This record gives sequence, C-alpha cells and structure tokens, in this order.
Amino acid sequence: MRNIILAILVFFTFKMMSQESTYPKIDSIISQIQRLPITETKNAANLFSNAKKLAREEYNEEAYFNVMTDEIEYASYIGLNEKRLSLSDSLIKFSPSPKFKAEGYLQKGILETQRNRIPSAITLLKKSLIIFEKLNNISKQSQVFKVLGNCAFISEDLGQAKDYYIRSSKLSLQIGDTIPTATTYTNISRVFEATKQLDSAIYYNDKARNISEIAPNQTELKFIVYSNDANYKSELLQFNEAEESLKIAKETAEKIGHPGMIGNIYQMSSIIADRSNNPDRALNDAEKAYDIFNENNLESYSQQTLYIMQEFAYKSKDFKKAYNYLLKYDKVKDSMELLKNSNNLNNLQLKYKTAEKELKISQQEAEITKKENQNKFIALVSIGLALLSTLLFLFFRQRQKTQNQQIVTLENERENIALRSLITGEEKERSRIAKELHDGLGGVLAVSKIHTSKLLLKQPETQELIKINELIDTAAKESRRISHNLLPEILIRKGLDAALTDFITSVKESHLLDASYHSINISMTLSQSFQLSVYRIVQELMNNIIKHSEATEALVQLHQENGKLTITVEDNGKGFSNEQVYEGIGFSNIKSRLSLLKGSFDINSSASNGTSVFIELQLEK
Amino acid sequence: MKKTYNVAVLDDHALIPQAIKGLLDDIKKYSFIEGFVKSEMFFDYISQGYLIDILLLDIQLNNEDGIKICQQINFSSPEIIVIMLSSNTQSAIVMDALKKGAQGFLPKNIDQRSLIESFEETIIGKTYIHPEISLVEIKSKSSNFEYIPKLTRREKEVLQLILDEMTTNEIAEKLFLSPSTIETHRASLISKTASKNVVGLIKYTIEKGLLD
Repeated sequence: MRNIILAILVFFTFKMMSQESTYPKIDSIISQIQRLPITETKNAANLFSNAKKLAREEYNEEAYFNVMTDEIEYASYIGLNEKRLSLSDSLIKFSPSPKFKAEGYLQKGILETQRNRIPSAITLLKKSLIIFEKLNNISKQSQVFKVLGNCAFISEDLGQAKDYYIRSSKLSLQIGDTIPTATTYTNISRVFEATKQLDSAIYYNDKARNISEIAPNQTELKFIVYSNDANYKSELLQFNEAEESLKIAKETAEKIGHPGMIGNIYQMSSIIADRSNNPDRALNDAEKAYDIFNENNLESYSQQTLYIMQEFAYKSKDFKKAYNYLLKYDKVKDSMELLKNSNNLNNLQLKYKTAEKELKISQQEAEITKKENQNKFIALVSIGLALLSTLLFLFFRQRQKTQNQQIVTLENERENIALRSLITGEEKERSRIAKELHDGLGGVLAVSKIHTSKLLLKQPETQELIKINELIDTAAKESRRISHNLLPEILIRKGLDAALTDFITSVKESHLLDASYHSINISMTLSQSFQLSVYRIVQELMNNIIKHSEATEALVQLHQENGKLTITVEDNGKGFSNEQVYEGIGFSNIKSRLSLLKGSFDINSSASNGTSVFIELQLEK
Repeated sequence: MKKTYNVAVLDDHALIPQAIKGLLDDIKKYSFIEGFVKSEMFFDYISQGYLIDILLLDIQLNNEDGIKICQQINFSSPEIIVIMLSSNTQSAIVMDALKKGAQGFLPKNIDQRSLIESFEETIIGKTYIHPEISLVEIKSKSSNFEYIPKLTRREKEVLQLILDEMTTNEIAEKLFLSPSTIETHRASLISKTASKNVVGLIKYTIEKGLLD
C-alpha cells in the first residue's frame, strides 16, 4: 500500500523546462502555458499548436521538436496519457536528431513506468540512457537513472532502486542541479522508509526540505517533502506533527492547483487517520481522494485508491461498501499488470472471482424466484438473501484471509526449518566424514609412517623407501587438511576467533594470498551453530577470492558491538559483475545462511579496487 | 646403571601404541610398557602402583578430550611427563595443551629420531615442540605499540571523512549508508587503534600516518 503512495509522489514532479532563448517567440508562448490554470487544457493545446506552427514557419526542426518535448512534459503533468504516448512515438519515429529520439524513449519510459509496465519501461529507458551517454548529457542521464530507480522501486527491488537513485543524485550533484538532486533525495528517503529505516528516511527527507527552503519557487518539491514528512511522522505515531506537515503540503498543493496532488493529500490524510485508529475519517478521506482522481481521469491513482478504500470500509464495518469497492477494483485490475504479480493481490483476486461467482449464483437464484413468484415481496426477500450471502461471504473472506496469512507464515517457517535442517544435516555429515578420516585413515597413515621411518633407519638411502615415506607424509597431510576443512576441530574447542586466526594463517602459509585477520570484541558466548555459520561464511568468501579473484591480498575483519556482528572481507582482485555474484554457488550458500541469521549483505566490487563484502548479523538477545 | 624411562601411550587408535612400541624396541633408555585406549584404563593402571615416566597422549579420543586428561594427570600425578601426540597441530590447540600441563607436542606421523629427541628434552625439564609445528604468535593487544592495524576500505573512507570534520550523519549521506552502519565503522576504528575517543583516533591517525 505504501508503495502505491510513492508512485503518486514520484510522478507529480513537474520540471518546469528552462529554455535556451534561441527562439524567443516560442519561449513567450511556453511561459504563457506555464501560467495557465491547470484546468485550461484546451487553451494550452491551442497555444501548443500555435508554437509548433511558429517553429515550422519561422525557425527549424529543432525548435519544432523542442516544443513537442515541452508538450509531452505538459501532458504528463496533467495526466493526458494518450497524448503523451502519441507524442513520444512521433519523437522516436520522426525526429532527425538523437537528442529528441532519446527524449522520446525517456518520456515513453516514464509513461510505461506509470502504467506499471516495468519490463517495457526498462527497455525504453536503457535505450535513452545509451544515447544520452553518447551525447554526454549529464542532466538527462541523471533523470533516466531516477526513473529506472522508480521502476526498481515499484518492482520492490529496493537495493537496485537505491543504487539507481544514488547514481542519479551523484550525476545531478556533479553539475550543480540542486532541485533534481533534492527530489532524488526524497526518493532515497522513500527507499529507506520501505526498508524500515525511518531515521535515515527522515534524514534524507530533511536534506531535501533544506534545499526546498532556499528555493521557495519549487512548490512541487515542497509538496513532496511535506507529504513525506506527514507519512513518516504518522508512522512514528507523532500525529500532531504529521497533521502539521500535511497541512503545509495541502496548502502547497492548493496553491499549485494540481488535482493529483490534492487527491494525494486526501489519500495521505486517510492513511494517517487509519494509523491513528480513526476508520471513519480514513474511509471518508479515501473516498474524497478517489472522487478527485476519478474526476480528473487519473485512472491508475483512482484504482490504487480503491484498494485502500475497500480496506478502510472494511475496518469501519461498512461491509456493503467494502464489497462494492472490491468489485470495482476487480474491474480495473486488468490494467494493473505489475501489481497483479504481487502475491497478496493475487490472493485477493482469487477471492474476487469466487465472490463474483457467488454473487452470480445468488442473482440467478433471485431471478428464478422472481419468475416463479412474480411477487415483489418475495423478490425483496431474495435480494435481502443475496445481501445476506454477500455479508456472510465477506465474513468468510476475512476468515480465509487470516487463514491464508497463517498458511504463509507456516510455509515460511517450514521453509526455514527445511533450510536449517539441510544445513544441520550437511554439517553433521561433514563432521562424520571428518571423524572417519581422522580416526580411520589418519591413524593408519600415522602408523605406516612410524613403521617406514623405522625401516628407513635400518636401510637409509633406499630411494624407494624415501619415496614411500614422502608419499605417506603427503597422504597424511591431505587427509588432515580435508578433515580440518570439513570440521574445524579448533572451532569447537577454542571458538570462532581462534578458528579464524588459524584458518587465515593457513591460507597465508599456503602462499595463495597475503591474508590478514582482525577481530574486535568477539565474545566466547556466541552459540556454536552461530559460530560455525560465521566460520563457513568467511570460508566461502575466502574460497571465492582464491578461486576467482586473482587477488594477492585479502583482509578479514570481525567486529562485535551493540548486539551486532559485522564481517568484512576484502581483496585486491579483479572484481566481478553483479550477475556473476548471484550465480556463484558460494554466494547462494552464504545467502541461505544469512536468511536464517537475520543478516544483511552488501557487496562493492570494481576492477580497480577489488571486492569488498560487508555483512551485518543481528545477535539474538 | 642408567635410569630406564617407562613410556606409555594413551590413544584410542590401537595401532598407534603398537607402532610406538616398535620404534622403542631397540632403545634401551626408553622402554614401552603399556598402551591404553581409554583414560580409565590408564588411571586404573597407575593406581595399581605401576610407574610411568612419560605418557604420549592423543587429543581426540573416543568421547574424551585429551587436553582435559592431561590437566587431570598434571593435577593427580605431576611427576608424569605428558607429551601430546596429535594431528591437530594448530597453534591455539598446542598453546592450550601446554597451558594445561603438557610438556611436549608431537604430530602423529613421528619418526624415531624426533620421538627420542622429545624425550631427551622433556626429561631435563624443557618444553619440546616438534619443528613441523609452527606456532603463530598470539597477538596481545597491550604490547603491540609498533603494530599498525590494517583498515578496511570503508574504514579508510570513514576515517578520511572524520578528518574532514564530518558528522556521522554527513558521512552516512556521503557514502549512502545508514548512520548506524557508520557508527559501527567508527567503533571499529576506535577499537583497532586502541583509542578512547575520536580525538584519540585522529591523534593516532596523524602520528602513525594511518591514511598515508
């Protein structure tokens, strides 16, 4: 639900185009359009066609396509999607210069993003990015990255979203574009919010707010910043502050006069009301938001609001409304390609279909009754029955919903148990093999060595004997090495710190790598299975370095503090690309271990600096 | 007449006592007297009044911990010289055994010469560690005044930004990390340089040229 709100916030940023003044006559028309009240779309359309005519007659193609670009931005601002699509397509098809072609791809990409057609959006955006990179247009590159970030965000790939936003903000900062940087900060802030890091979310939002305060004309930015703030503060249950920010956002939205923004304010207000346990107001405000979106043909937003509305109607025990909203939502769901993928919506849709069937059945029943009796009274009763069955169904649906949730939780648990037992089983088997190697083979080899060495004393200089002696040595060493890798005896006896010291020393002594190890505050009281997991993670990472990185140096560091254990493993090797990382079997092992340990995982890799892996594990209290 | 030393072996692998016996067959000074596969058998044996001068002791016995047995012997019969005989030759384990009263440490694939050498050394009160075993110096944190810690890349970045007078929040923003992660790096920097606070860290950085 929160992601839906973000989608609204992200797209209402209208960048007022700053035009080079090569075409003064056109500029004056454009600035006329900018001053128009938002509702006067017809006037604006006329002015645009005037501008295009002027460009054709008095200037050149460049001017013509410039106007077209402006028109797309305007159409996007007021939500004329068809217009945007046709204009973007003509930019792509007819424009002679790569600059406008790229602009066409970008604009179409933005539109596709808004329509939740993410794969198509990404293809378009990448096309435009390649051209803008060739043209060395930093500001546009930054914009493309921002939209790519939105795509990732909508697809709930938050890490990727953050990466794109960061690239975007770095680029815009580099050329001193403070306002785009600020809006990107608000997006980064949203990512932090989605990952429940509210402190960081507020921090970035406040950065954006500071920029907005020195740029009083940037009302759009101000609007985003304050509605973000209202959202965050209400999440922290600071409702007074939330309402205050909401008020400022509302004033700003009214000043701009953009219906989408005003609708968004009601939506936010509805969510705040829900959080402060005021379901009636929540429903009321959500309905207002829906009306505004609906009147202004902001389809995707009104669809999203429907989802919130059925939820809130349900909470305020208005089941009839809840059901109606559900049905409405169902009708429009087809255009929500992406959201369909999300699991809980899928479930919801399943329920809708059942709901529809049930409704049809009861309607048929009603009709049959009507025909048979032709009696108004009975017809009324049957309608009442239909209503009753609807109500019953809603109760049933709710029960099913909780059951489904339980099933999901159970499935997750089962998956975790399966994973845990897999890992435990694996460790057990390793330990068994290690023991057999050590006790069985190791013992026999040791004894053979003792015997041959005695034989060697009696018959020194016997070449064959010397050779056999060496071979037994090698075999013993091998079996020891294998058994030790399978089960580090030292870990069980002396704990993680000693085991890693030993492990890193053995890597160093093998001359494969100059490895060093630091540990800070590692306590001896960590559970054995936890210690073993950390040991295995470091082992996997070191194996990856030795096998793939061509590094000459590596650094391993463990740091325990404030209920957290952090692991840093770095090398100076050749680095790797993201795809390679995720394919590697080592990383998939690490990931499954991390999922059980409540850990987060951050990789930085580049050809010049090597690879740096940073892992944070929460310790059980 | 020269003293003869009685040597016993405690190892759950029955072949090992046999092999040691073989190595000592032709040596008069040291005579192999018994091999045990459980500590219980060994304690029974000495409680009957038999004399053992040197015990070769395995670490990984069936369900028993050789180092614990060593500690027990050191407590009940300190006159017995205990030499560990184990393929677990990691420093930490060797150090642990020595701390618990072992006087020597041998790898399992021993030859006659080093076996005798270990006896010779330990009976005159020295500690014997087989040359194949390399002991890593256990770094003690108080005495490493010349030791300059290696920093991770992130720590270097964070340290540089601390020197640039940035606050945790500012650093978090610059590096696109969460403030709590920056706090972690900050804490590890302070700990690694054995400083009390940021001022100490900065002093250390400048004095030792940590970022050069």
